[in-house]
Amino acid sequence: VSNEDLQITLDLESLTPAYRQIIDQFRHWFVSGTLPAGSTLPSVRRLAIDLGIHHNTVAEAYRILAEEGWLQVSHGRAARVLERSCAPPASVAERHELKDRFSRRLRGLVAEIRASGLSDEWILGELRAGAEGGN
Amino acid sequence: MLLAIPIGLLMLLFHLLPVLQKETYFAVRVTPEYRDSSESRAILRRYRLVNLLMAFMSAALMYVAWKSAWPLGMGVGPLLYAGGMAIASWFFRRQVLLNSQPPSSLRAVSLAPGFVLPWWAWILGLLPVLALAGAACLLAVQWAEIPDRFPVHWGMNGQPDRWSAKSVRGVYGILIIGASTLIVCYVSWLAAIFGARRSRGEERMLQAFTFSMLGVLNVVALTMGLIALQPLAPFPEKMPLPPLALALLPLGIVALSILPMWKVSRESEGHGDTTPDECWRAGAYYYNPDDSAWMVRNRMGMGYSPNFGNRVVQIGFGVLLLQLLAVIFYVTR
Repeated sequence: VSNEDLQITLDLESLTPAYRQIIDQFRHWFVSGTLPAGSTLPSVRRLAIDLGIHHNTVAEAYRILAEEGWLQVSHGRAARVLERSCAPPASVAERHELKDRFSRRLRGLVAEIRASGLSDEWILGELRAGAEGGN
Repeated sequence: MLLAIPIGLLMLLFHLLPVLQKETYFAVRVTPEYRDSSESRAILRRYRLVNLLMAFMSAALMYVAWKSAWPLGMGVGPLLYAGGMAIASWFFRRQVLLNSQPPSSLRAVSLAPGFVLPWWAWILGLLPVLALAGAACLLAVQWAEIPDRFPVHWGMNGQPDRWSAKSVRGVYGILIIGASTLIVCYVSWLAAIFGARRSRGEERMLQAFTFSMLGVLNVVALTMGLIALQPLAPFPEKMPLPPLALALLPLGIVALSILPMWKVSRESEGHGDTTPDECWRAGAYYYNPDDSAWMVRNRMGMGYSPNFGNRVVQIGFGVLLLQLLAVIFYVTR
């Protein structure tokens, strides 16, 4: 998949804030290798203009991704994807805490999908594809 | 004949403006069903009747002004017409607004770079600057040849009706007005190239807008350059071109250069306008502080409109207005 085929999609009526939707999509592409290290992303202003939203929304998304170590952001220039290893948590306690946090989020999400009427098979298929690094 | 040109053009413009875009009607996002309904057609019929009446009144005023040698009346006619039609648009748009449709909440943007200005556009874009600079240099070099008094404006009969003395302001005034106009055009063009949406669907409009702006820029530079060099002509009293040609040639070139924009505006599938109806004041003035775009696709007519809710646009617009006022003050004082 080349950079040119990728599309950022936003639902402005979603309960998920716009900046979170942007983060989720980019992070998925970083983890799956769709956007490898060295790729460039549109500048904050350019993406905000094309999406028709305030530039602070995109800036917040890029800032969080940069904090997570995925992006190098410099003023007025295109953001660059960094090489980042997903190191496991240092201690057992940290690992437990992390697992708890994601379990809660995952359970909430699964409940929301079920409440929307989608089947368990579909949810399992999506989870499997996600875990295997599919797009 | 010359009297009929501005009124005819304005009439055609106002006749088409509300229905030019396929996605909107009187600059309001409506469903195709509403667009084809008897209610919407009745609104359009009433609007066009007002247009016809205003054109007739304006033409009559201009004719009376011409017959009674009242030059101010010649300018007041089209101004009253444009003002009256702006009020009519606002009035009829309010009726259409009752059927406004919200924009889609979904936004999809490709990560591809989108529109990039071609190299030849940069070169063609530089020509107007070179033309005015060349004229200014020629006037400076040939300063001794410039007569003490020369015409700067001609009436419709081809005879000079305004003269200027040999001074820096008199000789370079036209070039300064030309440069000021070019600045406004350049800023509008570049603001659209760098500050409008340029994802895949928008490329064609940006290309067409570039083509139009290049046409306008070059026409302005050539016309102003030609008039500025008139003091160096063998017979400065004689118009550089016959009156009809001087009026029709630039208009013709501008009309040709906006044709691609017209074509793109009429495309049936639309461009997925995501601007909210409530941010369009009177259908022509866009104000949305939550939209980062400097320029957005026009709802009324073709091309782009500034986003007056953006701080950069507010400052830029203020600076442009100030430089225009400063030039007018310098040239006319």
